[in-house]
Amino acid sequence: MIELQEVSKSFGDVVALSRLTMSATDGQVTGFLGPNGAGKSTTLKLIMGEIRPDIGDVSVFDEDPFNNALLKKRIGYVSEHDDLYPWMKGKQFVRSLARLVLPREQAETAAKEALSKVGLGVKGKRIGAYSKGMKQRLKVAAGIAHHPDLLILDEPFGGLDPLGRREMKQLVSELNQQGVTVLISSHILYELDEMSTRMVLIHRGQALAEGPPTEILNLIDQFPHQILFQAPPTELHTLSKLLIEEDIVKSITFNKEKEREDLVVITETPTTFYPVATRIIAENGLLIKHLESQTDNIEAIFDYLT
Amino acid sequence: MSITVTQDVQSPSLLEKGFFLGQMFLEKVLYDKKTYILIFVSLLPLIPYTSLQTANARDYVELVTIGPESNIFNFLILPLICLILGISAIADEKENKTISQLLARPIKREEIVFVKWITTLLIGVTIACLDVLIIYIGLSIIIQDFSILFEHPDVLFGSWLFVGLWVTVYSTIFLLLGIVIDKNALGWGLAIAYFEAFFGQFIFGIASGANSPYSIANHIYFVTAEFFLIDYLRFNIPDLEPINSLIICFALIFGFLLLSMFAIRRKDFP
Repeated sequence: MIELQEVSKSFGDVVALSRLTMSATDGQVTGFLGPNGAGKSTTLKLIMGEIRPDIGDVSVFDEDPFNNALLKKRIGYVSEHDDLYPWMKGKQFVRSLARLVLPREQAETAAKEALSKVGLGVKGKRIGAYSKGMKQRLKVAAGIAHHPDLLILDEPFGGLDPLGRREMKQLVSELNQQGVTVLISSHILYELDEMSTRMVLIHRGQALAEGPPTEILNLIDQFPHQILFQAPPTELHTLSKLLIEEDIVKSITFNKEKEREDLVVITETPTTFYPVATRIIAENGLLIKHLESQTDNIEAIFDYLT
Repeated sequence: MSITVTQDVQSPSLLEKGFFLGQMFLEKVLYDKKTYILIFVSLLPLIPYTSLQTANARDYVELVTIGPESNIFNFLILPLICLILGISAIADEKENKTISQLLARPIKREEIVFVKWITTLLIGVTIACLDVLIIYIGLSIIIQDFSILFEHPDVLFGSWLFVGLWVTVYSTIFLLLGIVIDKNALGWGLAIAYFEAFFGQFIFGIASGANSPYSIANHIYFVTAEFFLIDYLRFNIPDLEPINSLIICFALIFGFLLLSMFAIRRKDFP
């Protein structure tokens, strides 16, 4: 359905994509994961035909998407930008854009239906007065109103609260169950791993890996995770001893602050580490005050993978 | 509520899409504060008219073709209207990223440019004609003679055609600038607009001792004098027939429109 073959794209001296090859398969939810500046939005703009590749081929439904008006009937696109008309009201915006694809009566019904799907009412204020979350929902409504076969979402969770994120994930899954192929980008892993049926990792303009989420997550899990424990010193020493016995840590460091001691553990097997550490803490009745994964920097993970 | 995946829906015709897109663009212009600032600014020439009490002027044409007031309107206000409307037609969409919404719909880039062009002309010509009407009425009040309003309607219509041609030519040129130039398009537009006033018109004109054929404004004047305000305006470009000036004006309009369509076809919108 979507094929990018050896695609390169530069803007002046900045190389946005370098020989990128990736695909999105019919009927799947493809998660497009990469840190900020990795080239995700550039890739999606290529797929949408907003820009053209310097080198390489882009095809969507076996057609070149650049200035391909007919193809756009089959695609819904939600960009990462605040690309709304602030003077319009929500329903007017969705209906106006749907009107460019559908006949008048159908556009009216489709706008109402799409707004209802994203949890926005049909009456309301001008878009200029919308919150960021409402704008995000509205963009999604405009993207799905004309019943596309392919839905492309660029960072759709930005500005959404936890409930909004959950609803958005449900909506994506629901659309996918109804036959809509979805390509969804994010720089946050946990936003994509649940709902994606395929994942593509992109970093510095190149695809690092492509495949089922389980394989991708295993790949990411190979990155050494750093975990911080805070507890009374005796408890930390007991914990460290038991963790070493289990052979699940790569290194252990004690950081002594003024009035407390921290234990920093690095593990190469996070999927094993967390259940084992939890069991040790519970079995030995250790009083752990604070536990924190310090490996939330996706850029560090991607740097490690390259 | 379920979502139906449909492909065999009947799409709106090209004309319908164009009409609807035009309606969207018109709404934007009506909402935009720039439009009202433009209307306000374009009425400023009325102030010197009032203060100067141009007693010798007998009708609108005399007023706007003699003295510095005409320069204010023709060389400052009209280019400003065209500049702001022409450049902002596509540049605003680029700047606000809303071009992305349009490119994601089943509309060809050329269609977007064409509809934008029509909308820009509609708004520009309306503002310019409104200005002329207000100035015309203002003049009647200044010279205390309302007969010009009723006895010489051809002056008003001729003046409308004059500003209409002016807005059409210049807005089309600026439309291209708004597409091609990503940074400081307004600055480039100003440079081009005032090329007319300082180089095309005067420098080349002074060098040849006559009205310069290198000035777009001169061609518009020539066309106006020969076709729109025959009995009221005298203007000539040596060695040139009025029909040549008319052809040049149309060539500029359609040439720049085609260039705009070509430019947007090649344009990346990152």
